[in-house]
Amino acid sequence: MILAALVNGLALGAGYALLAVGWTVLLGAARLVNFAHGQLYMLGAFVTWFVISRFGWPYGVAVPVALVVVGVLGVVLQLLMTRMTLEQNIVNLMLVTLAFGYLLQGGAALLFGGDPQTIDSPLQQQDLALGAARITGQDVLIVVLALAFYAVTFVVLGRTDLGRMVRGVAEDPKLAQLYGIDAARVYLAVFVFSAVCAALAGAVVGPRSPILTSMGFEEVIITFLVVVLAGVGNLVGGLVVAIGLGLFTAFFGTFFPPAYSTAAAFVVLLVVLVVRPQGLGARR
Amino acid sequence: MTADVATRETSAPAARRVPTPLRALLWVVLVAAAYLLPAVLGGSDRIYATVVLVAIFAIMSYGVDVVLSYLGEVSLGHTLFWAAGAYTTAILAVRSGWSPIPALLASIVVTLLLALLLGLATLRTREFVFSLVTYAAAIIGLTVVQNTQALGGSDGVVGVPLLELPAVGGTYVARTNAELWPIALVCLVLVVLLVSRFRRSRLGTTALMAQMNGELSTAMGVDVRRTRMLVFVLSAPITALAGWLYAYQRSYVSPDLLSPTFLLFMLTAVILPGRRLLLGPLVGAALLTAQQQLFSLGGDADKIVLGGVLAVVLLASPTGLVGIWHALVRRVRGSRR
Amino acid sequence: MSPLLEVRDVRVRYGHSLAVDGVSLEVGAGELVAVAGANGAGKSTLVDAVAGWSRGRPSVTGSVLLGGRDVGRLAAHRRAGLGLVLVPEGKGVFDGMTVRENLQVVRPPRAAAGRAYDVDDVLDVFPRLRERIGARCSTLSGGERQMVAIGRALRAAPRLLILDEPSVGLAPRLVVEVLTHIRELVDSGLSVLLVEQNVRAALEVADRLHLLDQGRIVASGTAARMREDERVAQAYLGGLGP
Repeated sequence: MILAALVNGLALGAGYALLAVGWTVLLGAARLVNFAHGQLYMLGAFVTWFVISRFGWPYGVAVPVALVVVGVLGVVLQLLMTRMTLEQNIVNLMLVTLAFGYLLQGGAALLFGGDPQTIDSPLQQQDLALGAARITGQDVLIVVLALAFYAVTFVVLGRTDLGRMVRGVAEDPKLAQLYGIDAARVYLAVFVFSAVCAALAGAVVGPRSPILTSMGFEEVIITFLVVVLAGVGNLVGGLVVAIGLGLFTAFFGTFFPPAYSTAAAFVVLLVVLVVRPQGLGARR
Repeated sequence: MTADVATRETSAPAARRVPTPLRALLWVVLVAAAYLLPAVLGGSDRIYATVVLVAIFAIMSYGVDVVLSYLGEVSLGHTLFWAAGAYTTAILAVRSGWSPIPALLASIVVTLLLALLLGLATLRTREFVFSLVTYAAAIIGLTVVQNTQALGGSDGVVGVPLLELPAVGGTYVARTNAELWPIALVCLVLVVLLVSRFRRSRLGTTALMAQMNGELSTAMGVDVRRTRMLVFVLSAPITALAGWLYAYQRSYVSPDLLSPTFLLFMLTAVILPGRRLLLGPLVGAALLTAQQQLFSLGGDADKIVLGGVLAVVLLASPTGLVGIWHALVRRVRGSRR
Repeated sequence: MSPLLEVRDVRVRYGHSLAVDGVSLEVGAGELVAVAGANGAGKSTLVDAVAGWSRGRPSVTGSVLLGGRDVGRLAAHRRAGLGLVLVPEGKGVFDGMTVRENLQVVRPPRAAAGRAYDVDDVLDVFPRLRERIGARCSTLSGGERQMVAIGRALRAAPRLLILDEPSVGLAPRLVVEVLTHIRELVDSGLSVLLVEQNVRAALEVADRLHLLDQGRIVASGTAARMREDERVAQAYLGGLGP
């Protein structure tokens, strides 16, 4: 049972990590709190499902389609918010993303219906017995993708011109203009990256359990738990906290009613905020 | 931000020109007209239900208004206070037979404690962490309530008795929406008076100052954190009062009180007319309730309407309908010149 | 031939206060023009407006022409791309990045306007940065940060470099060092618009100088003539400073 929880926790945590990686960069670079992040996750799952069930395309094709669809949606959303982002109007940004999230949820419910659906992924059927635990191909995919995305993000941010531009805009968007950097384009790139990460998380975590258009709200909370606990913009910390949170959820669910696991994690967060308001991984 | 300040500066002297006794009289006439409004509109139960809901949802929104308009912070946890008010009332009334006034007092105590807890946890955090924590509290609250049998689980608590208040020569029992209307209106008037009082109070002006220029007000000896905390905690019972009324109006409570629908409603009611207007949340709540009660397009489509209205207002005119109005007036004046 | 930079009747308003009140000036190719004046005279506001940049939200009128092209409506990053490069007063580098990263993050525009400096060229101009190349800018001294700020501006292949008080907060010895560097750059062909509170220091290096007071130009002339000017002498050189 311990081993099963461990495997499940790792897969869950890797899913959380994938969900949070884009948000970490987004919040760090654009100080943009995207409350619609969970709905982008939901859309990632539902577009994948829709493409498979409507057109009969295989899972491996449906996922990229979903990423493109949500990526385009991300472009539209960020273009609408460009002025607000440049003005760094944090209050209105939070409110407008909240509105977007609600709008997307209502739209998805109309489009995809209110019934739970399952995404048919061939990897979900391939298990690997690991002692008493069962690990599916899907779980392996999630872990591999999460690690790969963190590694790529880490390298891009640290080593490339694009990464330096993102970090420059994050530190001082006004000064970045004088470096010839178009902050609006950096915001757009980061937002779309964040949206695609959320959609990918939805598309690969989705096959593990039935999906509903009403999901997404809890996902925002989990993303936020990861980012705030790790400290805003702390990429490595985010990965560690995400895996930790996955394990916590899995083990908590083994011994207590699973419905309370997020609540328990939230209580941990409240305590952390009182003791260390900057998050666990923050410098100083 | 600068535009907001300018609007306030220009409108304040205009308001002062009306002498105080006359203004008081105007208010009395306005309240009397509001009281008679549903009767004028035909007096059907549907009309009465709508105006009662307008009053309840307006009170609910005033709680958010105090934080959003004057403190400039986004509380996404007010559905928690709304649900806490309704649940405390329903549970005490149904299971312990409490009468409405003690139930109201208990609701206020419970929400004050909840607000204090959230406020203390976010006292030293950055601005958006406050919003995230309050949002998380509300969303997680929904899951917890749905899964806790002691709170009625996903069925909620049913069979809330009629609202009975002590009155001259016995008791006043609100059997219908028409009979509930005077009570709801009185509550609404009291809340508007309270908010108007708050706007002129030291705390209210301090909050506005902290919002406009945090550094400057800190330099002037204002404790921004304490102000934030006080305003947030004081705003909670306002929304709880609405929850109390709603429990009696609907005669049951269920976890949907914690759903993002009510959250979006509160925020839109404040933002649609324009922030920092005394009667703004009332106007906003009236518009939104009228749409949902009288011109509903069905659940999911109504979600799109609500989310769409909020998004469009924020993107097109962040100062709300008032901002559009001012822009129109300016244009008309400009073209006359 | 038209001058490289032509500023015509620029007015900058913050809310109800007029910070710059109808300033016109020119900078020719290979020229170092200084704008001097007391604190609050509007020097920074003026050059920020020329670069299309501000930390606040001013309203700017008037026109700015670079090589005859009107750039007055362009955003700051577009103007930078055309070779109109500003080093602002105060914080001019990304503190969270190393010296090398600060220099690398600037990509010379595709149609490089002026001479393109690569990272090594910048290190040749400021040899002192060579040993600090891997250090985070938050750990640098004021003079070193100023060199990084100017260095990254050079990386953008400027046609016109605007320097806003590069000597502020520096030890007198460093002021001379930084200003000497700037003069050398001009002698090698760069055009510079220099804002300097220290009139005496500005007159040492500038070809021409405009004196700004309360948002207006109150005196202009070649450096040699301004040194003789009584008003300048009385207001800024008499008895004060070294």
